[in-house]
Amino acid sequence: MATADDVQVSSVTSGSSNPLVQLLQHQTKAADIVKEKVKKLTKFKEDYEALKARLESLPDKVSHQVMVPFGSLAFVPGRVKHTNEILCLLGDNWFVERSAKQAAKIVERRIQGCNESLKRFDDELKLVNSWCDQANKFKKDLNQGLNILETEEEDEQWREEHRKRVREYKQKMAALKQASAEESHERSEEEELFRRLDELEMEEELQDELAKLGVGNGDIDWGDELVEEEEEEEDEAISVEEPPEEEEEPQEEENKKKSVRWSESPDAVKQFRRDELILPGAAHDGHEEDKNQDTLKITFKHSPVSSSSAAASSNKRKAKFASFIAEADPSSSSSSVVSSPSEIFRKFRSHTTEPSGGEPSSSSEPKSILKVKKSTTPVIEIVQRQKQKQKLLEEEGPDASGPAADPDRSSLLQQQQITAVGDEVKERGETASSQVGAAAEGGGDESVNTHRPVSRFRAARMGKKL
Amino acid sequence: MAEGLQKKMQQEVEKFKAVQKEYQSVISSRQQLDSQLTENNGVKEELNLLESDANVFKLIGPVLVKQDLEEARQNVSKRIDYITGETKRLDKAIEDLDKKQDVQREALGKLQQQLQQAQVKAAMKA
Repeated sequence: MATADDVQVSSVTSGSSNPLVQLLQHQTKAADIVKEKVKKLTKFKEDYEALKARLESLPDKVSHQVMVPFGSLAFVPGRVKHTNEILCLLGDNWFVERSAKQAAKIVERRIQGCNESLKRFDDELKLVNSWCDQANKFKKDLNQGLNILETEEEDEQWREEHRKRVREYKQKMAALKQASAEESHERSEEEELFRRLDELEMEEELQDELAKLGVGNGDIDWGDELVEEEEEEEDEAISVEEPPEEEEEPQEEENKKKSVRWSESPDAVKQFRRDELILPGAAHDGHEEDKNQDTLKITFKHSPVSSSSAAASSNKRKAKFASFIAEADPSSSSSSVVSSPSEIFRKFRSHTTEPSGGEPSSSSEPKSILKVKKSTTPVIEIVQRQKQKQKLLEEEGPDASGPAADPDRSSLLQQQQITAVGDEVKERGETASSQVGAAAEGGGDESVNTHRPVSRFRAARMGKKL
Repeated sequence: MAEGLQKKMQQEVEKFKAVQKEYQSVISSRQQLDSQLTENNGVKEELNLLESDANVFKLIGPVLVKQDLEEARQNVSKRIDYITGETKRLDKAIEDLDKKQDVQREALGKLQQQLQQAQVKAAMKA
């Protein structure tokens, strides 16, 4: 309100001793102004009501007998003649001739306008009154000495209530967390299964592609299948790991996490990080997504098994991991799924031996598959190599799969793109075929790149068919 | 020194008061315009509700002059536009005056400080 503001402005300039008192003065003045307006408006409304009544009664008679005011002091008896012709002032010196009924309608509208203004004034009055009340409250507190300090009792009371509330809140949060964790956990398990299915499908497709590309090289198949199994293993592992999460043997899992970490070299383009997976609840989803992406593109990645020691350690870890998996969740291992790398090898060996009817070239421990680093070998290759190397190492002791392989592998990994087809496959095949025991893997790699890679398994299968 | 300051002070105070008065007058005329605007809006609404054969009159001085309804409507609309234009102009004027007032207040404050310092000095000397 401008007037109220004026009042406030003026009193500000005047200044007074106690600001609180001054504030109260302002507020009361503002309240008074609003009250005045309200009074005026109610009077208007009453007048309009009376006018309306008069208008309704006027056309009852053709002419009314009335006492007409004459000047300021006299009345004259007279008549009101044209009882239905009423000149209405609309505002701003505009008149309109209306009948009694029409005039009554105009009055009705005016009354409505009054009501709206009254409502606004009421709201304003409420606001100003609330200010007044607050100021009065402050004044009272001031007079009482502004005892903001709580009494000890109040304080303790409050503290207890606070504790209760905090407890409840924490419980609620814990419940929420659990609920969300369980949900995500269930979801994650299902997702895991689906992902594994997808991976297997991918693998099949890859194999088909490879078959189209070239026949006769058994390595690729081997690699694919091995990878597949490894993936299954991994999936198993992951699914196994996830359910227990961190509740069961967190330490072991920790170790497993480390052991599971196939890729050792930091150069690996993509690292399949199991540890990432073994995060509780929410983290799972994100990492699983990563894993999903990873697995979709590539089944598995190994850091180049550069040294025999590395291979050995990784092999051991793998063995540990596999055994752990077997321990942890025997139910999850299906007949088709291999529980340890060694089993994979044995399986495939038996698989290859059946068709060929004899010890396949791969019976002797597969040498490191990848000799040549240049090729963008799929992870599969590397994995396979590692496994083969492991076999070699396990069964034949320290092997020559030597240091030569390691730099190759590392460089390979560097270039590592997850491709279904890679030169490494070839190499593996060659090395496998050329055989094992051969410490000089390095020599073979370069020559491998000539022909199309065919997995060993494929080769075996082809042999079988034949 | 102090006397000079005091004179200056008085001058500034007068200036400030003048500005304030102007400000107030502008504010009041703005209020007036505001009420006229609401009134004319009401008239416009009522005129729109009239039938085409209704008689409209305008009070010009002591004379009631019959007006055409359409003409009346147009006149009222024009008046409303004029009023809104005036309102905007006055709003701008209010802003300017407000700024002027602030400037004057600052000047006054500075002068007051100077005065006080001078008085303190005089008191110290004495």
